[in-house]
Amino acid sequence: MADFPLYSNFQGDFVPKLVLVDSEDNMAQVAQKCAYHSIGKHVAPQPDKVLRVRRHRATECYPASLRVCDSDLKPTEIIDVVFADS
Amino acid sequence: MDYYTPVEARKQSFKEFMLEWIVVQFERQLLDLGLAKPWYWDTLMRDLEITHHGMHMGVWSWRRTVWWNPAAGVTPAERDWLEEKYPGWNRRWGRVWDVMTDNLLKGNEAATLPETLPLICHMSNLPITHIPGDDWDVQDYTVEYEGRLYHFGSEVDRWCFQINPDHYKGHMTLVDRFLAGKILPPSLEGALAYMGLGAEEQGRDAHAYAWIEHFRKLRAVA
Repeated sequence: MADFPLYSNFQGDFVPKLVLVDSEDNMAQVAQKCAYHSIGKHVAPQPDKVLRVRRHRATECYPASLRVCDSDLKPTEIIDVVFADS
Repeated sequence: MDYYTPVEARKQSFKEFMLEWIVVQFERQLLDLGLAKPWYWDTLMRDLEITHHGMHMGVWSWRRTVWWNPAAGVTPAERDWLEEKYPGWNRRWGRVWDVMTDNLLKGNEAATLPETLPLICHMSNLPITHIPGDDWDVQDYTVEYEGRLYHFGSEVDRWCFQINPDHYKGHMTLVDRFLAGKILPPSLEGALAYMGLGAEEQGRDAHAYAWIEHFRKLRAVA
């Protein structure tokens, strides 16, 4: 387990924010840690949606169960956190 | 011009000012001298409509990190003015202001004060902002150089770095210093102390949130 800094570019927000996740976190947990700094603060909630994580400007999202340490992400990389139907 | 000047005293928007007094004259000088416009001219034109709205929102949100008291400048009348000058403002920056305004109306000031740091451009040292809300389009321009990731707010900032990376590669933004363990405790409070900003120096809303009363009245009527 180790701190893993990422920049959260959250859908609807105006600026990417520093978020410290754990290298063992999966992408669903990463999304929740990012949401803490955006939803209800700069972005309105969308209760009927789920949050997904992808590399910045990528079209495909990571599987929700994928751990950060098993992904291709690097410390201080920027990720997009987006609302999705599933 | 678009936020701090009282709306009744505004003669033109920031964009209009830039176009009339800066862009047209600069463009004319280039033509007179037989020079081509720089390759990033279109980027400059586009950013005149966008960048300063995010910068203003960032200054107001992270107001504790500045040494003046920023005015929000987003009463209903001011928002109408912004929408007129920058069509689409309400569905872009207005969406974020809606959330912050709701929090203040509920008495939840804490929710308007970020608990983390924004991504800072390695060239301009300014937060990397762009379009929020319904037209969300925030882009980071990243470069990996000698194993380190560098982030830039525009292709122009990135271009400046790539011309002479060895000149810039050692620079540490405030966030880099935070991540390197040079700011203790590793929190926004630690960053404020690192910047020498005590409670007395930290910025506050310039009008002590009096502007939200306009929204409270509107909602009461509705």
